[in-house]
Amino acid sequence: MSVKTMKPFEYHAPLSIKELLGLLDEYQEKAVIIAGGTDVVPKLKGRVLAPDHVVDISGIKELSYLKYDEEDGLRIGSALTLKQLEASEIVRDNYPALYQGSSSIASTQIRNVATIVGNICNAVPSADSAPSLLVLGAKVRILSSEGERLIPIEEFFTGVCRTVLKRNEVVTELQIPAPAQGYKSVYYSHTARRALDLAMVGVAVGGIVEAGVCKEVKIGLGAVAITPKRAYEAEKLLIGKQLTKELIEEAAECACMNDCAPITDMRATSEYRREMVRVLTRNGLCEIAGL
Amino acid sequence: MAEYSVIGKGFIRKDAMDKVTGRALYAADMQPKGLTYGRLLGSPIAHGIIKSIDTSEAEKLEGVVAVVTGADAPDIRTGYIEDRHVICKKKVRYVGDPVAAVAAVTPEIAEDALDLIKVEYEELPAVLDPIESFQSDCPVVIHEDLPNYRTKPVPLLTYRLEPDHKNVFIHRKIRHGNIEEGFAEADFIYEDTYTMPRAQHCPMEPHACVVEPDVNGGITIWASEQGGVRLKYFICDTFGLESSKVRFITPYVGGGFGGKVDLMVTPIAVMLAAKSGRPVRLEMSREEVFIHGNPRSPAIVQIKDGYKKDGTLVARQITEYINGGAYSGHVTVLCNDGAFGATGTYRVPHMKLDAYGVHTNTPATGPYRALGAELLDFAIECHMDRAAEQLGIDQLEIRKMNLLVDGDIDANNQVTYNNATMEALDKAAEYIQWGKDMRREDGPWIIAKGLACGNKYTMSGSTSSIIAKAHDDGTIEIRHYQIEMGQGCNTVLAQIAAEQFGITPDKVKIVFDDSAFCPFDHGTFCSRGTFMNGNAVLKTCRKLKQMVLERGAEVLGVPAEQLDTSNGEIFEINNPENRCTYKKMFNNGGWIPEKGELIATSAFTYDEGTIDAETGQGEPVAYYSYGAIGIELALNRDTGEVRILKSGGWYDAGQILNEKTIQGQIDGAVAMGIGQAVFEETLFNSNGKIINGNYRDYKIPTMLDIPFNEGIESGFVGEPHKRGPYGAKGIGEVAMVPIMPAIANAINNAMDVKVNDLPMTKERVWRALHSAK
Amino acid sequence: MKQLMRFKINGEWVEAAVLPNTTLLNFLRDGLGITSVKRGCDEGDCGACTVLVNGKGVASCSTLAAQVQGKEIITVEGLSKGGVLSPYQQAFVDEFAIQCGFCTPGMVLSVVALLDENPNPTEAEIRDYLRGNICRCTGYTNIINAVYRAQELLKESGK
Repeated sequence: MSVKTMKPFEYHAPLSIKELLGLLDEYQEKAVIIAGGTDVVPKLKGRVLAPDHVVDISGIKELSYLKYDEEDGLRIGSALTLKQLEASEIVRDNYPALYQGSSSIASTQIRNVATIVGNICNAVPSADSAPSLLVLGAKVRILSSEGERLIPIEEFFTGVCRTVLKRNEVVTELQIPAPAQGYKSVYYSHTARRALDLAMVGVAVGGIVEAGVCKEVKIGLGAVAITPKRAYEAEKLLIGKQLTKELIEEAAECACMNDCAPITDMRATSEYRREMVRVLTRNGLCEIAGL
Repeated sequence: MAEYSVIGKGFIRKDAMDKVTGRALYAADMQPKGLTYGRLLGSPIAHGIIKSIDTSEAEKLEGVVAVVTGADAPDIRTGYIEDRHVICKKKVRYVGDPVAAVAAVTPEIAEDALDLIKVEYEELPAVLDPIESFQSDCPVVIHEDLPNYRTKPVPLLTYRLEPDHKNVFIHRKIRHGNIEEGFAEADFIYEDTYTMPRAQHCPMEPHACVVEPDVNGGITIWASEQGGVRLKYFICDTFGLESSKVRFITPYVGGGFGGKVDLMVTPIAVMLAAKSGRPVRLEMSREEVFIHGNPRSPAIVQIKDGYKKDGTLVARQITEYINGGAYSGHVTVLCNDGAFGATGTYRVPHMKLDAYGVHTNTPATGPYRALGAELLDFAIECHMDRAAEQLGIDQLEIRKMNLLVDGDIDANNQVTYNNATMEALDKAAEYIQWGKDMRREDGPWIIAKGLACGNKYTMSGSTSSIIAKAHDDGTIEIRHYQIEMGQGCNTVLAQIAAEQFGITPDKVKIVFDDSAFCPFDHGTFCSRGTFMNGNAVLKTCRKLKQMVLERGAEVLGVPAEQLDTSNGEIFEINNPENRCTYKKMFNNGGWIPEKGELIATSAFTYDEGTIDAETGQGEPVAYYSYGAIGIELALNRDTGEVRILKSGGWYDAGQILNEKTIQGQIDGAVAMGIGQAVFEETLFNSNGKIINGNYRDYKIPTMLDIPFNEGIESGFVGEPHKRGPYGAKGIGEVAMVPIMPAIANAINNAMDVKVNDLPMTKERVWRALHSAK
Repeated sequence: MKQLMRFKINGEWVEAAVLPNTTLLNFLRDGLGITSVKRGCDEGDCGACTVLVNGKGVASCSTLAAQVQGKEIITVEGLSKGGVLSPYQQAFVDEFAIQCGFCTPGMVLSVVALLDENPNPTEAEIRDYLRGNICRCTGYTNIINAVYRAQELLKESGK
């Protein structure tokens, strides 16, 4: 209580990936990685986290990048800040849901230093960047001294504030394929107030609708399960079908009844969350269908 | 209105330079040499007996300089009803109730030391709900000794307990006319219940205190409080200190809104400094402000109204349950005076009001920018709309029919005067084009309007004093102890002095809020500051001016009554060529032989009020400020989201002293009111612990949550008040009163099923819409 | 163990030994006596502790002091030169965009960063950019006016 303080720890600011991996091998579970530190530092102050070592990756130049080509799509380094991501015209033009997800987060001050990789590694179910990464087909590149693995974002989250990351591993990059011709996406963060808030429900919808027919669709849900997740059953109802208002209502109903398991907490009841999944899924589908 | 050279104009704030350059100092900014850092240990349970406390391990920790517990606390309790020890001695009564405090050379060590204090409790059943607590058979009694506690005399306040209701610490009554006769006369009776939640003030500055002991047995206290120098005397009484040895300083305060009226961390800091002999800083964390910051007393208000067919209000019965939390603090005054929220707006020939202050095992509550008036005003303004709907009368019309106008007798039996609510309401209605497009739809959005009036009383029975000094360079110095917490008192008090001396406000020097230099004031609350301190400045400046003219008479060789002063000079009224500067009146060094300096002091005291303890009848209110607001908003039928589109408020605050600072207070109240109408509520778990005590989970409006500038309008109505300084009344609180019911009324005008409870969150609104399907 | 830090604060290089478990906020306030940097919520949710790090607004309560090694920090103390207010500060004075003053230093710095990134923002852009700076007194109207006023003053001063 009172003004909160941190337990002592050692601070490391590696300048290369090699140096970083060495530190992780040495300190293992005794180390916590920060980039902006905006999620971790408050936890240190609340003494929720009390690591012996804090490893700051924000100074690793080889992790601070945003690259795009039509072959490989978008590559986002783990030291790239949210504001840097949002400043990219490529992101704004080709990945609107990602832009909306990123810019929904917290405040300018936080997004100036916070990273999108940090947002997913923090792994709260309401992470605003996660639903859009789900619909955009993101993959997470994970590195350790033992090697590298690339896993789909769907498999990255394992629980509330839990991921597949092992003790000596670090996420180095997010990979998002170049959007196919006609792929549209949108993200809605449903919050109590219009800024500085955690999503009660987050819904991203992405897909291709040609002449009213749904060629491809992905629906990503946030804050309605222990992890951000896809609404697979609702997606199945839509693929290959003519997108009528009725079908969209049916899919929205399916998303809110079958594809999520929201809890009741101080932010909202499970009933209200389900209803907002319905409304936002419907609105998102209408948006990509141009209805 | 009269023509003034300084009064009314938007002179630049006196504190602007300090604040924009970072030079403004607040309590937590003080860093005496050898500073130590204090920390509080709070009870983890809502109700229990402290069986033992072991602080030995904490005391042994290197760097700890003091550990204090209830055993170190004075036996004298604090409060108007003296019900609270500075640190709990035997019982804890809410989650967080302080049981110990530590000072150490670093904040980290202090926090480590808290973990080493071992407290054993015997847990008692707790009562969190005020209605349960009110019941005569409530098995939990929070203060067994309540009937034996001493009370401090407060003007016009009657301490009345209810022997059958052991958790009721005050019962306030109004009996005006005859309620049975009133209901018998009525054609239509309408009853309903309304609630307001525990809203938090959220001043941006957390409460903080620095205490530095000196070598002569004295102490200096820098505190972030709005109770002012009055609190110094509370400290002296509690600790048995000589008042001359306590220097009490209130530097700039980073917002108060009522939340800093009572003493909180200061006495504990005094104990730590006394024990260690070292300066200590005790700074509340944001979470602690949510716990100990005396948030708004949540209230449940039952109203039963009787109307004639044409909408004339003939009888009104109100029962109000105010949750005071575990200690009564300022809620005694709030319960007593807040009743005027029900007396100042409408003509009610027969009124019966019973307001109960009730203890619960939750943190103590307190005043919030309207001191209880807003609780009753919210209920009444919502209720008028409901009654109008039932009667088939327009919501504007039912108000206009029943508004008090000058000459009317109100429910205190007091004659109404200087009341321009009617004009304010007309302007508010005009702004939102009342009567036109009352409800329209646009996609998922329903657009609707709402109106509300409001009043805020200021009590009789307080004093403000001022010291004024004439400098040889023509500057007038004003020393006061009104708290500068953002409202702009340093600016308007300078304007009043400037008007008196015919100078510009930049030639007025303000020395404020340090008991070493500044005189007594009762505190900065209840919209009394401008009226009371302004009058005291006026009175003291007149006295000083007389001294200046008398000295001028000696220099110019003309009787004082033939002289006047302006622009830093004294001159003969009928022969302006005969003049001299202030410099000429003084010897080099700023002294006058035999006289010394030109210093005046005086006080303005308003203690003319009367009240009958059983009926509430008399003349208790010094004055009311009034207002009315019109709101237009959009409500999303799918999500329950509310977006305020337009807010237009008009106010009767008498003569405006500074058109810019007053507009700032109104704009701020609108934003605060929006937050409280749709977002803000303190949440507890079933054990009585606050679960949203931070700025992410307790939501106050950001820039995106209020209308764009073109959607916010305000203005003024009414005449200068007959007793106010240049005719000024208070504004800070009345600006806050009508905004919440106006938003609630607009929301309810958009929906078929009505909501009577704040905040009207997205989910609550959605539920109302959903249940109507 | 304390670590030696070197960074620029309001134009001057400073060297100091800092414990790693120290926030930038605590270091600036208690270590360097720069008390314009305010502790409002201490969790990154209010903006009162905003400082500029390499020209960008940052919540100093959620930043470790160690993270600003080698960087340049600006607080409001660094905005006025030779007793003359910067256009941003003057705008806040002129427009009564200050009340209790506790959010003011952070708010002014956010306006500096805003107008640096976007010299002609719309009201919507202003409100979105400044959404992390909470003010409980003003209702924000005069702060919006101050941003417009600062733009004018900057143009007048030819910046």
